[in-house]
Amino acid sequence: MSSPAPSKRLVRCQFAGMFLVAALMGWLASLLPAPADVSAVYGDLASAADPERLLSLRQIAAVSVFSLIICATLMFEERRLGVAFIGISALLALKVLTLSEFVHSTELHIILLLVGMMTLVGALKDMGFFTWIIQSIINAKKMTGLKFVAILMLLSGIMPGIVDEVTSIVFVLALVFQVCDTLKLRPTPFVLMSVMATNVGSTGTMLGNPVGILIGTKAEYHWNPGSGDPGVPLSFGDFIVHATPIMFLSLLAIFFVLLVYYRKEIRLLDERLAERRASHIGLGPMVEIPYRRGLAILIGALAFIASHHPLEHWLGLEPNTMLVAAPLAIAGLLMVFRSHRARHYVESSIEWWSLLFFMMLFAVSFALEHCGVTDVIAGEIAPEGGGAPNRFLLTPLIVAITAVGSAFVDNIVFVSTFIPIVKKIVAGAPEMSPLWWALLFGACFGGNITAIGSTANLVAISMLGKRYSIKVAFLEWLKVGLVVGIVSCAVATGVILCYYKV
Amino acid sequence: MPSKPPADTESAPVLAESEVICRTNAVESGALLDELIRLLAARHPAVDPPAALRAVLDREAEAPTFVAPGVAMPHARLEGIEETLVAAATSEKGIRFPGSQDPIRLVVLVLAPASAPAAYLRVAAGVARRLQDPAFLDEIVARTTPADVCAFFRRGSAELPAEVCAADIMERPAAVLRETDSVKDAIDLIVRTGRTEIPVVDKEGALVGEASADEVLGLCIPEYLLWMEDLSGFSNFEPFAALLRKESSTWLADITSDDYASVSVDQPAIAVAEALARKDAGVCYVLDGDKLAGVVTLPHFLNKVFRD
Repeated sequence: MSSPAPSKRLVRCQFAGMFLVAALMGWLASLLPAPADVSAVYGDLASAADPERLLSLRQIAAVSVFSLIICATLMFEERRLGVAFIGISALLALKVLTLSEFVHSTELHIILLLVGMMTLVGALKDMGFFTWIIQSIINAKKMTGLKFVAILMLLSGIMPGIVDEVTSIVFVLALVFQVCDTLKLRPTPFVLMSVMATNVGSTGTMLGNPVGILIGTKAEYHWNPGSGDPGVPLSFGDFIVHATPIMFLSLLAIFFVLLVYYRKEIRLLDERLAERRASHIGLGPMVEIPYRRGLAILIGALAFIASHHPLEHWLGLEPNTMLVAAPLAIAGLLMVFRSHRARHYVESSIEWWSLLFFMMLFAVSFALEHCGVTDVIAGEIAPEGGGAPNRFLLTPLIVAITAVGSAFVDNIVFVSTFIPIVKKIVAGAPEMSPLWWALLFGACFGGNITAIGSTANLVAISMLGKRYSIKVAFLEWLKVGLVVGIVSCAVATGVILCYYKV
Repeated sequence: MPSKPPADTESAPVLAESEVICRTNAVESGALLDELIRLLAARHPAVDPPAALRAVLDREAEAPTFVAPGVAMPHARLEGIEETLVAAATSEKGIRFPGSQDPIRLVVLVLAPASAPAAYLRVAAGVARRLQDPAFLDEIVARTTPADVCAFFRRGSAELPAEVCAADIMERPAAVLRETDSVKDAIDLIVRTGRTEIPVVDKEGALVGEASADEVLGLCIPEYLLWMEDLSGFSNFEPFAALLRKESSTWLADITSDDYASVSVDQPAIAVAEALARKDAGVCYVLDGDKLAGVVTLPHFLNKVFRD
């Protein structure tokens, strides 16, 4: 059952609060100093009567719009895209962005990569691949409580890396609901276990989270810091080699945390499963699912995407060209061969709402960078001329800032803002390249801290509400989320500090 | 000109001596009802006797209105009247009413405004509550003058409920399952009664849940199976085969939900509508404490409000 609509008075107060925060942030932005080289940033505009004043106005506009979007994300989930549209219009009208800058800054290649993956997922769902996985787990022999939780968390950890976190959580929760409905168990603990494992697992590959794609494509990573080589974007293979092991270690750590935290619920699950086993009754119907085609397509698609780096090298393409081209080609092939479902994939499988929001957000982040706001913040974190940055300080700092920020604001908002900051730090000190991993893990693991920390959390809460009319209290989530967030961030920080010794 | 508000909130209808027939000699319901309506029309010109009689007989033909053995409450909703009108007749020998095995000894005719759903329900609830006293019928039939009957009714009218409660509109459940039953028992009952929701009670009669046809379907075709483009590949009903093999040993709990609409017997009848609407349910269970006292299906509720 849907929650009651907020009163008009409350909405009015929220709107007033939102604009007040935006105005306050704008005023704070007006205190920011202008970048040293104004003309490099604004060209002709710099020769206007009062360039510093012009720059300030732009900073005010960019920060205000960014604050508006953050407030809208926090207070008006359903209105955030509308607010973003209005914000972008304001930035265009105030000449903070030109049309061509706006189009360029929407990161269409990332959006198209997500479109391709979402189409692939739609087709796999159609072909019964996900149904087959759920049915195989439900009807597994000798299932115990511990075994089920281990499988659930492993599945939740691995699936986002293949099919993105939102698809993964929808799919995994269908398994949770089936088991909890049949065994008459309170679903909330198992939903929280799944969603927390999903947030951790979404860091395992570049495809797990829009944050991963954003960092991968925008990073300027220096693999040989001393050699003077330019920084390069991260590839799918880089994620497999560097991010996946950290993801698995963190997943293992939170598995034990959650085993202890939810020990009573797991014991009850174990007892109910034992009763079922004794009566020889399964947890769901067992039918023959034609899964092989779907499995072959998935393996083929992953192999194609994973080989994007050597393919680019071989074809002499720009880095990550094939990372975008491969999912598009796969989606295209599926739409050609399953033409009767092609329109369904495009209209129903693709999350246009989220993708449009991402585009607007990327443009606002670009505006912040363009106005020099992110330069100022980077300067505060790692001041120029202050000696070599201390990685033992900066790594936990980046993890902590992004984790806490992502706990309250959609992590992509935070990451898109922090990318120029990390880029600036790494440009000045190439040995700080592992900060890209710190940004990834902080942003994704921090999403576990609160119920509004990630898109997967919001989807899970919405599904719980719709199906069981259950509301997860903010504190109920925070109590376990904080422990899980701290443990996983500590593991990631520890590994980054120990492994990447410069 | 603004119309008068519906008569829902009117005070208890007054029974006039001129509208009471004591110890009638009538033996057929039609003649008696005609006589009672003419008595009402004499004092209330808005009542058109032929139209009112036709409305009462049509309503009786749909479903007889015996509220207790020996007591009939024929009624109709009429356009044009603005208050609830009541006439009564008693009979020592009893009157033949179509559909009743027992001779009817007390007839309470109620004509209610068409747009006042609660008017008739309140009178019916008031009379039904008086009838809980087993001596009531004998006592009223023993009265020999309209003045006596009116005095007796006035006492009853003073007790007319301020509002209609869930208990006043509930009916006995058509089917009930015990929590120890199996899915097979539930499917049998669903097929036999045509009811898609059946209450499940424990051995003390406390409601523990609701078994439903939807849950049976969900057991065979869970959500994740519906993700597939189409299920025409299962032309031999494979998803149902497993349940068919084990329906006797499958626990009723598998198709029992605790997400049902319920109200307590003393809650206002409007709470039934609220529960049905909030839960998007087809049936609301009426509980006396935690025990199942009755049910109100959506069609039954609509009948009570719009037609009864």
